Amino acid sequence: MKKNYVYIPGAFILFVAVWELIALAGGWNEALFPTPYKTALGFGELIYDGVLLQDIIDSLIRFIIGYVTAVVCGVFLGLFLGWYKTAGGFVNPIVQVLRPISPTAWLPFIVLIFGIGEMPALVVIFIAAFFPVLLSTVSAVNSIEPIYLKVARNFGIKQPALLFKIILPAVFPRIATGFHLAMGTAWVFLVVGEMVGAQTGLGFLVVDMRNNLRMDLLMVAILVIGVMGLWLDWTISLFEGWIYKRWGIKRV
Amino acid sequence: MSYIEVDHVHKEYIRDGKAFTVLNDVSLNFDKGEFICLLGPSGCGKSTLLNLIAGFENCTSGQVRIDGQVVSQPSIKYVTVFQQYGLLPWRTVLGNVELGLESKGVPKENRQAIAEKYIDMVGLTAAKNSHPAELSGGMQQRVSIARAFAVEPEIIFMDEPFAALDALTRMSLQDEVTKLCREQGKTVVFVTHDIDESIVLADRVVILAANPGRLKTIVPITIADRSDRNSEEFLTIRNHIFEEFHMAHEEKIEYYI
Repeated sequence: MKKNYVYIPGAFILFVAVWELIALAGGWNEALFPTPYKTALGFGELIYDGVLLQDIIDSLIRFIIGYVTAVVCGVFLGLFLGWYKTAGGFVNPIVQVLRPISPTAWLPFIVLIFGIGEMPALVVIFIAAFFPVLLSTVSAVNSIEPIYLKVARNFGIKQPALLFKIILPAVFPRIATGFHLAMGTAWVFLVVGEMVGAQTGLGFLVVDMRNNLRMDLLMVAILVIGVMGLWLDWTISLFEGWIYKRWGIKRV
Repeated sequence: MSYIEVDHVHKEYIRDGKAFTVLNDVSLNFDKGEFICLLGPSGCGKSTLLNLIAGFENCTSGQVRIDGQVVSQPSIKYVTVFQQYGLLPWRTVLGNVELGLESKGVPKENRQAIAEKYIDMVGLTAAKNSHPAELSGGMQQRVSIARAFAVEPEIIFMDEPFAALDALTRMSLQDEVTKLCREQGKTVVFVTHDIDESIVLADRVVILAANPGRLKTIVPITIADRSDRNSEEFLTIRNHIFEEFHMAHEEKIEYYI
């Protein structure tokens, strides 16, 4: 996108203006609906006492642990199920049933099994990221270019070299799309995961500020979650772009 | 005993529950060091025949023997060059040429030197660190040829390798490939539907007819200067093959009626 240096500040001004208008038109108590100005002050406050930075770091660490675990499990299980069609045939119906279930629906069971604190957040992120990665890997393996396998047969490349030299790199661009999708979904569920007993993190900040009736700080937390999500999306887009370029695939 | 023996090969596919004959009782013998072109209209089973000789597919009946051994699967001793190049886009030119050397168990320190030698042979030294997507079709096919030669196979199979290239690139690659294969004494089986290409390249042209795919005739090419595509000799052979080809077509039409 061109002219981002015009669009982004423009969008920011538009956003703040609409927000201010809503605040004015609503005429609510400032403690219930913070204005942009009050939110900015709150932002300064959270930065100043270091709470915000610590919460961001804690959330990111949780997110990365849950996400990376999901990616590794999803890719390896996906390669297995995609390659061994019989196993895939048995597991696919189960996956299709589990996939549309929101990770939050499992929360009571997650708490029962893993207790409260760190684990629920990790498990929720894991579940949210796992299925997009798994499904994109299976479909990528199923649609691998036959010529790569033909070349591998010709040169006598057998397992496990076949997996690491041919199959995994061949399916990688399509898996990367799954990574992107999974990242967006998992970030949305981070907040939910951190609402169950975590003592830090952006999700905790949301719950904590709601309980303390600090709506200005709640608004800060909400906006930071959005900006962080955007930043993560942008980071993985760069990674995806690099993969596509390396593999010589034109972006559609 | 010939080097490559195609012995009463019959190939059927089952399509919609009905058997469909692709190749009907084909028998051929090729000698070591020969350059053979399989020429025929589309649907004559020339690519299937190549896949059977290379071991990618198995015959319904009959057998293919190379050096007396029955072929049942592909081998690194016989490398195929495909029309779609079959390069691995995530590897550089060098990495692609090293691929076969890796599974041959060539030590790491020797691989690069061998790969570089063959990359030089196809004139791509300047592009050795590029990725396939950065190269033109002709250059990619050169990489694929270098990759095939690098494992020092006894036979090179080529399945319409130049069909996707523009005319000028195709002509220069034809001249280079025929020179390389003859210099290195490779046995080559080359599939094409281009009559001129078969005359430039082959020692013998095997003409196949379609519906069902079968052997039509074999034309030996004895031209002093192959690169002159307008010589009297060239045109005479061209006409001869064209007539055979044409008859093959007519029979095909009659077959339909």
